[in-house]
Amino acid sequence: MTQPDHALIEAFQRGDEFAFVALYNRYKGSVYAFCAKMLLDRAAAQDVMQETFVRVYENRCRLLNAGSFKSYLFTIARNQSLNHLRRAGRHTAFAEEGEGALPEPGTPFSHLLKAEQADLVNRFLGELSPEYREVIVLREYQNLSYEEIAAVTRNTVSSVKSRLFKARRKLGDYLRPWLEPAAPPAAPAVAVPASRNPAASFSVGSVHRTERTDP
Amino acid sequence: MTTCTDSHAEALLNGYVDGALTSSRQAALFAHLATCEPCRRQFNALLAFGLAARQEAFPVPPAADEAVFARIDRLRRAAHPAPERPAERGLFRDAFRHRVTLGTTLVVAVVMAVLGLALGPTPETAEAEGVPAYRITETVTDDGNALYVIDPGVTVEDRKIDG
Repeated sequence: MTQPDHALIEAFQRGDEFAFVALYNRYKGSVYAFCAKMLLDRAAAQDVMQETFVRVYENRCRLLNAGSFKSYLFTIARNQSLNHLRRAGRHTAFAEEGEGALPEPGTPFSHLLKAEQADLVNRFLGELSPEYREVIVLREYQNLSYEEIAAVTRNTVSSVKSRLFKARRKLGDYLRPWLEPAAPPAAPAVAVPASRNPAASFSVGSVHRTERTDP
Repeated sequence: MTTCTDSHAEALLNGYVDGALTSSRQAALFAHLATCEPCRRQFNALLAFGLAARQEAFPVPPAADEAVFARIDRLRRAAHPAPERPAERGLFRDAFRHRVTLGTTLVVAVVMAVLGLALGPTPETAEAEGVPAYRITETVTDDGNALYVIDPGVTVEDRKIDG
């Protein structure tokens, strides 16, 4: 049976170290993913994740007043990540992820390899400032609600929405070359039906879009 | 047209992506998407990004687990140091902790050798040289009792019991 967070926290505060291990195993993946996307560097993400859980261990007596443990955890991870970025002196550059050539513009995003998609996403995140990056990572990767994001980032819900919408607008602009269909041939000898032209017909999610080329 | 200026449409679009749009409002969104190319492109971008985010895996390396627990172990040891062992609390606690130099060791060895020579042979060494360490003599007294004399120093009389 899965124990709720508050039961594990109480057990941990009574000195049950196994309860801490259970909390760690429950949240380590989320915290690591969040740090990896905030820092765009998985080695640094390991360090920040380590620091986050050590803080939780050290401050066990404060956990009861922390409300949602998940929010508390992400607040620590977020602060540690921002500290790391500040120390590293880079808010937009990224180390190991996102290196190499960009995927060919005009190739539909859905036709890219998963690694290429991830690379493109990392490049986009690298261009965002941390205040925009954190809201989009918490929303898209961690599936936190607006209220939870507001609690983690110490902001109002309306501010979170505003930043999230702006970040998404930037995302649309960034991904445009990979969402526009490839330009049709200048003078095709034989008209190619749209259904047989992979660059002219693609679908993303539930929307199917077809571009027609007039002969 | 490259951008849509309808802020209501943007709110609908974001609400849909976040799963916070009622079915009636979804209808309004799709009606707008049917006529607005920039919003359709934005919609595709958000769905593509969401899909890519869900597909990316972040396995935590085992080394990260080990590092976390090693660090916590160090914290725990620092907070609760191990109790002193009884041997360390004894009379010679400090003596056992001192380092002994080679010169001291040699001096002690020489003194021990000189003392050994000065004190002469031990009973064991005397026995090894053929000299008995003690001698037992058995005699019978006039009243028939056995008398054992162990030289030096001990005399035992084995009295016969009548009856």
